[in-house]
Amino acid sequence: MNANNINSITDIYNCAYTNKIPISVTLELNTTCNFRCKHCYIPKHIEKGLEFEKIQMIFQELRNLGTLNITLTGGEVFLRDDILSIIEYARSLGFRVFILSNGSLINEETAKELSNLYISEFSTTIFSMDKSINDEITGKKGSLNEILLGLENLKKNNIRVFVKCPITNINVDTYRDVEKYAKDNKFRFMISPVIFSKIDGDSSNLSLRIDSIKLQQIIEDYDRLNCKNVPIVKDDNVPCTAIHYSMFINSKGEVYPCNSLLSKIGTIYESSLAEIWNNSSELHYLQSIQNKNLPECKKCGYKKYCERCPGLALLEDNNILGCSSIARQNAVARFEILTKGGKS
Amino acid sequence: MENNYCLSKHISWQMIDDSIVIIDERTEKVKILNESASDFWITFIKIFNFNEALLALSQKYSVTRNEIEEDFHQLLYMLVSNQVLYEC
Repeated sequence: MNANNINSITDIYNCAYTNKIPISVTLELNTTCNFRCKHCYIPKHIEKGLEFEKIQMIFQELRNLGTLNITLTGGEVFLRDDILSIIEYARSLGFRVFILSNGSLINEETAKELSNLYISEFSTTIFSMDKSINDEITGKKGSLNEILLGLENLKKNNIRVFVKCPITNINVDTYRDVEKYAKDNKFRFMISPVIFSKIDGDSSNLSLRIDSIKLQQIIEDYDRLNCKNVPIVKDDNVPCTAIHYSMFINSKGEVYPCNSLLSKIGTIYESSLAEIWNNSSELHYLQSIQNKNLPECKKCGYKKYCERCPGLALLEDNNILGCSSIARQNAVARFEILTKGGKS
Repeated sequence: MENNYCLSKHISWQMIDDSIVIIDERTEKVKILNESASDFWITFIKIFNFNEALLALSQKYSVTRNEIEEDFHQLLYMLVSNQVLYEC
């Protein structure tokens, strides 16, 4: 696809995919956080992140590389004193700015400033409308009230809000109340049945994953809610299109194809982002992988029900070309629902 | 319409595949500029002054100002009408 055919946001992703443009870049601003969510993939909340001047340089490089979307994530990004300056600078260059935050630090004044900066979307997480359940997962007493207050301030200022609800065995029976809250407030909503291991390989948080019976209900709702959270470029030949148009830069300046695929492709201290994007042999290898290179997937009967993520296959099953056990588990649940009406 | 202009705060933009893509963040509507309009944009976005942009482009294309003025006036009018730019 070329630019002449662009009519929508999705078309932009397709054009970026065709032309190998890193249209979407996620920048981890810090790992410090005021919550201690039980499922979080970050092992230690200690990194305060890159300095503002370094971030400005990154943004300038990304403009020249053709990046349009900047996603700012943490940790909790609003713990940074310079967060509004970072957003303002990104907007001044023409970037679309997406924010991932727990929302608890958004007071009226901050919401007003975000509105004046025309951020594209504010994504947050609510686990349950039951205070005790939400607080149990976030590890912070009063967290639900803080989040709801923050979201109210965003709503008053007409900011697009996206509520995500990762499903764990703690909140599995209450997430539909979160769906209702999001619907009542006209917020976009999605659930996720996948809890990621921590990025240092510690898989202790996977004990939060739901059992196979409840998984069927979750998968049914996941499909009903159409939980694809970004415009997805479809190409039946490749296992992941996103790594052809995205990058992730962590709070130490290390660069990855995305925050789920922890195969380092460079660091900002050794190479420019253009050099990394254009010349990284690791990135080129990852981008060269096609579905025909996945021997287990080729013979798998659940293939058409599967949403395999190469990053999860690598992180949890140690083989980027192999089966992702969590994706397979979800695919089996989807197969059972669609072919047998489910077990329950 | 020959004064200075500013980019509206609700606009995001980027050059993609040699064309300027403009997004209105209020509506998420996408607008694509054609090749010559994209060229105008790239020149204009650095100086935000119509006369100066016209001068720079006429030199670049080796044409007179009159030969390109009407086309770029229409483009400027479209960008202002669509609240991408405003007089400032």
